[in-house]
Amino acid sequence: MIDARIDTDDDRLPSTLTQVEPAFTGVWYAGEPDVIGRRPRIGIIGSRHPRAEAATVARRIALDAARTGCTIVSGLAIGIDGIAHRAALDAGGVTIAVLAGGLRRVQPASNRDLARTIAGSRSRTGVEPGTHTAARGLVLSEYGPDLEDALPYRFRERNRIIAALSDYVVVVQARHDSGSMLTAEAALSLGVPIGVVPSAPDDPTYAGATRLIRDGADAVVDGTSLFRRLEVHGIMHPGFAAAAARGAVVDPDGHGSWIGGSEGAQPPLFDHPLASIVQVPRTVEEIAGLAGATLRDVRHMLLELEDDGMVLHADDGTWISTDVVS
Amino acid sequence: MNFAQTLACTVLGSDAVPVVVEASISTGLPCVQIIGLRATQATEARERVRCGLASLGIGVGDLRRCVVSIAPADLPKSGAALDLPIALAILAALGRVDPARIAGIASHGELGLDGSLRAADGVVAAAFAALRSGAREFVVSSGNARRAALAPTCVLAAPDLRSVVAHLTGSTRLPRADAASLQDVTSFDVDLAEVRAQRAGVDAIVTAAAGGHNVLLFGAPGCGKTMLAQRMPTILPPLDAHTALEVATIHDAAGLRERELDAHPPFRAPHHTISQQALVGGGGARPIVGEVTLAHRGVLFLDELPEYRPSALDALRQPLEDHEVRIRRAGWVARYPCRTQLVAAMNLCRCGQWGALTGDSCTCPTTSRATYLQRVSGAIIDRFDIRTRMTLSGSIADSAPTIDSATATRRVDTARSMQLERWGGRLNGEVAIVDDARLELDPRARERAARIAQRTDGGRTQRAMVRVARTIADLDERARVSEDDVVAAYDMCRSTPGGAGRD
Repeated sequence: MIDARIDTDDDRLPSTLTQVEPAFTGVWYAGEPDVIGRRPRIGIIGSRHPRAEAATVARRIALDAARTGCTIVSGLAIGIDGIAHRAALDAGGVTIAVLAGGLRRVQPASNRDLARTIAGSRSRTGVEPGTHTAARGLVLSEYGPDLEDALPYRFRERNRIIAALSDYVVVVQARHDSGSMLTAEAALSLGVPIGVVPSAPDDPTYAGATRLIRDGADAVVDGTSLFRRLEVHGIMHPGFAAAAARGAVVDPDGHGSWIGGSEGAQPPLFDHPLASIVQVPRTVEEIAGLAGATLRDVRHMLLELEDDGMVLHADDGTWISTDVVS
Repeated sequence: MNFAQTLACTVLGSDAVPVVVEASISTGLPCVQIIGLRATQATEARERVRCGLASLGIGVGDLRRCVVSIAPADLPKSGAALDLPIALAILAALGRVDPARIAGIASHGELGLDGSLRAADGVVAAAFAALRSGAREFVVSSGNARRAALAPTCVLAAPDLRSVVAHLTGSTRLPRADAASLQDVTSFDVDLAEVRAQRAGVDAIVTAAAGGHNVLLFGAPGCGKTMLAQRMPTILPPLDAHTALEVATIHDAAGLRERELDAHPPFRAPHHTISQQALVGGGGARPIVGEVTLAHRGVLFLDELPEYRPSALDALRQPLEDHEVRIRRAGWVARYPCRTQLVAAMNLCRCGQWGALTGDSCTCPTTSRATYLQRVSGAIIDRFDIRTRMTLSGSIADSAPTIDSATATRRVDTARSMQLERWGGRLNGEVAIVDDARLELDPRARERAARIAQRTDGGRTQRAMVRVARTIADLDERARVSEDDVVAAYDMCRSTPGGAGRD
């Protein structure tokens, strides 16, 4: 059982974890602990009951980031958290979920299957601690695996770990008094930069997010804007955003911190390679460019996918995955 | 008998018709009266003719009471080109030249006050009208002569009125003019190879050129819509002598004068403030041709399509379908040819930023966008076989040219000759077909087309799809249309700028 636990001062964990308040001694995990080393780690947090637009933006940012090799960190809650995790998996990337309860007692129940997919293991009401080869990421908790109740204060304490694990935190839709704001404050105290998905300033469901922007947080709307901010904050090397925009998978530090791997190493994440490209509306021209295929092939594939109900042709000449619009 | 008559021609829209100019001189107070022309035209023609005759030493006193009639009287007539026949009729009525000599000739030219002859509009159409009227000779100004000689008639070039009189009295002979020669297409300043990172757009424009399909390019500013459309002329095969003459006749009648015969297919790009009459044709007292006819056998390019007057655009519907403009006014009926290919470009909203896929920065209110798009009616959108959404994707510097103009022209030329043979002188985009054995769809293509037809409502989409598919196969010089062709064609013809999109 001891190999399912990592101490806070373990080299595999970022040093920021030793700085959080209240302090803790270590985390239990289920899945593949090596993914902690895959950087940058992007925390994506937000409302449990997001608006459709906020959900779309969260998914877009998570897809773009995960596809480029970022690790998506979140709290496995319903709403934005679950969307971010799922997008990471859909993009073939990796993701870290930090729980507020025991690993074998995953809350909320509706995200148990998501946790099981991430950890690559299942137990009756959660995931089994330990390293699993089928893992797509990592599920973490500072509490014992069999802790029964996920008490409200634990959700807030969990948030400080999300902040400490993240190189950058994106707040998608947060009320003034929300848990997401606690994560943001924890991030600020640890010196982790924050990006916010902007909205109409007077919208109360975004009041917290708006306050962060007023305090100087970045505005982030998609992968490209996120990548640019990562460059500005020195988290990624200059040129990363441009390389990511070209679809290149890069190793920015050159010393093994993982950002994707070599060309062609992008895992086949979707049932069809084009499906990942049309997570945002794109024209045939763009799709062909991104897929490196001829227009003729792309047109044929799109029509087949359309017949199968996997993509939709918008009348304005763009294509989009049915995952996104349904 | 102080009477004489001679032949002349007057421009009527894109063509010219023969008229008879009569002059009668009788005793009475000296005065010249011209009837059969509108009042201001008559006054001006009279003064020019009087001065022209004065250059020959003929004064008002010699003329006595002179009446000139241009028949048929109720036909609306145009232009100063009647000056020369009027002067000749008067000279014959005066006995300065033999009335029998001028009865069988036609002439065309504007008189200067010193008796010199100036070039006039519509000389090509007039030369053919003169031929139809049975004139033995057609006398024109030197400046018009080479163009007039495109008609297979005896065209004589005259620098001034004096030389015409000398010719008619037999003292010197006017030189017979050589026909203008067909000028080869020279190189263009622009080339299709300059268009980068726009494979779909280049595909669309080459396919449109090959099949004579109307094509609509839409998308955010800066993605290259106009750049692409402006390269359309560089990939069109040159006109042959016959069609070049057809075009020259129309252009000449509309006052676009050139010395030689131009093999470039016309490319007309009128500004969006154009009136309906100027776009489609019309006129009040007499017919005028519109841009759509000036673009006959060539391309009419409408940039920023929704900025045009909706009424002007809608008036294009029937001409685009029938390849002919029919206009009826109180005094006349006109039919102008317009085998014109329509190329149009448009943004998706007034500010233009809607649909710029990287970063939505459109600032238009939703209602304004709808209003903007509604300016182009669905019926006009339907006239475009190919409708391509363009976006700027990838790096322009990194990407290679798709195809250069010379290569594209060769492919277009070959594809066109296959079509002209198939449809008897027409292109795929000009035939009204949905199902025809001559399309030669292979079984899988037929099956795919049928499947697509099941889920599309409009017959127009189907028709556009099979026509464009045929063109794609023609571009590859394949006898049969493959399934891939149908798929590609469907993709090219199914989008619309007003599509629901992704607000």
